[in-house]
Amino acid sequence: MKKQLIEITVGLFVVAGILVLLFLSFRVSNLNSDSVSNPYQVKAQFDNIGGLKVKAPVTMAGVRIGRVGAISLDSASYQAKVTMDISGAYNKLPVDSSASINTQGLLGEQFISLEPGGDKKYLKEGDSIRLTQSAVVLENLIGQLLYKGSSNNP
Amino acid sequence: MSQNQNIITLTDLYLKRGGKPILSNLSLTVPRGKITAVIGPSGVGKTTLLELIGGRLRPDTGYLLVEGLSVPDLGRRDLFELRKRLGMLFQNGALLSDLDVYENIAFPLREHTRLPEPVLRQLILMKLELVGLRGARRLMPDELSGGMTRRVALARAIVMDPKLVMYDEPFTGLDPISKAVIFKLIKKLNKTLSITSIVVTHDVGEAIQIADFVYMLGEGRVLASGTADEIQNSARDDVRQFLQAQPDGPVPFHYPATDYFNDLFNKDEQI
Amino acid sequence: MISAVRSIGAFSLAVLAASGRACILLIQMLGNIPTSVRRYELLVEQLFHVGVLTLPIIIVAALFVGMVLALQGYNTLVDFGAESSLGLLVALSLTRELGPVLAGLLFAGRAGAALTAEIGLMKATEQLAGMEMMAVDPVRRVLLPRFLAGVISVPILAILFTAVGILGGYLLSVDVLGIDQGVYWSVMQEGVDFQQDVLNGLFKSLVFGALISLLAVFIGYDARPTPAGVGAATTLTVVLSSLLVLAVDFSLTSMMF
Repeated sequence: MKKQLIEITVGLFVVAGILVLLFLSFRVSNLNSDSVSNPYQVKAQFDNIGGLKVKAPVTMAGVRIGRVGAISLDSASYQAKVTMDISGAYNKLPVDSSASINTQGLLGEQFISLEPGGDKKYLKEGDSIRLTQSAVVLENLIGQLLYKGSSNNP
Repeated sequence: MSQNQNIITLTDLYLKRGGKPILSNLSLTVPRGKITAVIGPSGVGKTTLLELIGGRLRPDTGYLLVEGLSVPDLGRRDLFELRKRLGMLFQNGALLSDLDVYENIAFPLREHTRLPEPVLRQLILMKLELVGLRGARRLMPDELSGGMTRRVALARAIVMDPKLVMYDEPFTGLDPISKAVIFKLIKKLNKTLSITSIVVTHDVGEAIQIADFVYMLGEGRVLASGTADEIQNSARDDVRQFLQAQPDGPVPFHYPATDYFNDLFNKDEQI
Repeated sequence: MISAVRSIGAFSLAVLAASGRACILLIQMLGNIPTSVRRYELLVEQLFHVGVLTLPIIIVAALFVGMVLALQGYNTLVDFGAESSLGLLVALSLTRELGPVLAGLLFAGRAGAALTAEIGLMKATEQLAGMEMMAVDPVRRVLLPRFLAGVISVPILAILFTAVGILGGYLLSVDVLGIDQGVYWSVMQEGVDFQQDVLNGLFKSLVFGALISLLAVFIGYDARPTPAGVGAATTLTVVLSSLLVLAVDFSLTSMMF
């Protein structure tokens, strides 16, 4: 009787631990949004990716449609080569879509934003996006602003 | 065949602990099927002797044969196999405090055998009946009196049907009735189950009454040995002092110290 | 002067020798795991004593810690207009640090002390010696189930601590401080990484569990078999395992993050 009670409470204890670990995985951390379901890969080259990191979100019209899979340097063009994993659910992106690197808020994380084009053909596995816009590097922007301001004043 | 007659043979056992010799050149034998008493004042290594026989300590030199096996040379597995055939009654019983009487006696059986529960129950109740505590099976160790504790411990010591049971001070700290009960039980177990018994004690009266053969230890070796009568009629001073309970004699009343007068009036001394 | 140096030396040697004995005990216990699988009910019993019975203080402590984090965090973040990140602050502090460390410290005080006292008393009352004479290895029968129960319990307790703390922070943030409940969860999901934060925290708690449990059973087993010896051993377990948890936490953190 007492032994049964002990076994039951221990069982509950262990099960509670596992359930709460699942809670931590899916409710608290980003494990669920981490995986992109049956993704296809699309490449893009940027002059400068700023602070873009692997696993950063890829969005269209503000909706997350995939993640950055890999980042490398193209040693021929000296451009950054970014591979994106786009969710299979969004398989009708026009081939002439453009990609730009934006920042969430003023100082937030950087992400890739896709703008749809008008082509009837759609991007598929291994395609490249040709129209790209590099990251806005805040320091350069401030530098330009100061330069402009000082050249206008005198 | 001496090996068949003697279940234990010790030869020239020597053990030093903390730089002090506890046992020096101790030799004795324990005959099979008999009750052997080891008596002597406190602190002469009687309990140490039992720990040596059980393999909890290793002697520095000397031979120690139990059932024809050299205990100090046994590997862990063989030592544990040997211990299954030995029973030991600790002075305080050493019952497991979180188990009740029944489970305490069941403990060795559960650890070493896979007997079905009904058989286990019968075995345990038989041993409990033997020590007269069948009705106390659901009591916890802290609910038992000293005498009952020792009886439960005794039932546990014999539950594996050992060939040899070692009793460490079985009579110490008991009232006369409990003492008589333990006395009777040791005798009975020896007679009916032909269990060889070693009784280590400083209760001379009981020891001499119960034992077939008596060893008296002192200064880490055997001072005298023989049947109970032979010991009682020993002419040795140190044996007589112990048997007749004289406070001073060959075993001095005083712990070794410097001269009393000097010690008292020496102001330079710190303590 | 010489005597001071000498006592430092003697102390170091004693610590070294004790560490060696602890390592030997650990190896003995690990070696006994395969043969003790069939006695899983011993482990279950210890999981109850060591894990389940520690749960109440873990839950109460976690609730308060979560609420305090939310309150303090709010007062700081509101100055920067960043109070919407409160959920992230609470969750990150708990998953990375406070969950494993505080669960470890509470476990050391509640269960570690009890383990040491229990084993020390069993030694002092010759129960362990009695077991040995019954051909039962106390390391396998007594120490191993308690050690394993600790190793298993602490990560579970740490996870529960973290979750309850996050809920405590939620109660205070949403009901008292007026943070939007959706925002509380979404900043958390955005900022807490499963591998970096949750798994690393879990790993930490596993290390703490092994450390505290080993110390508790070893110190009990190694205690002087007297009332004073058992008392001193119990204190030593709490002090030493608390300090070691904090020290090991620092070195693990500096390696992980």
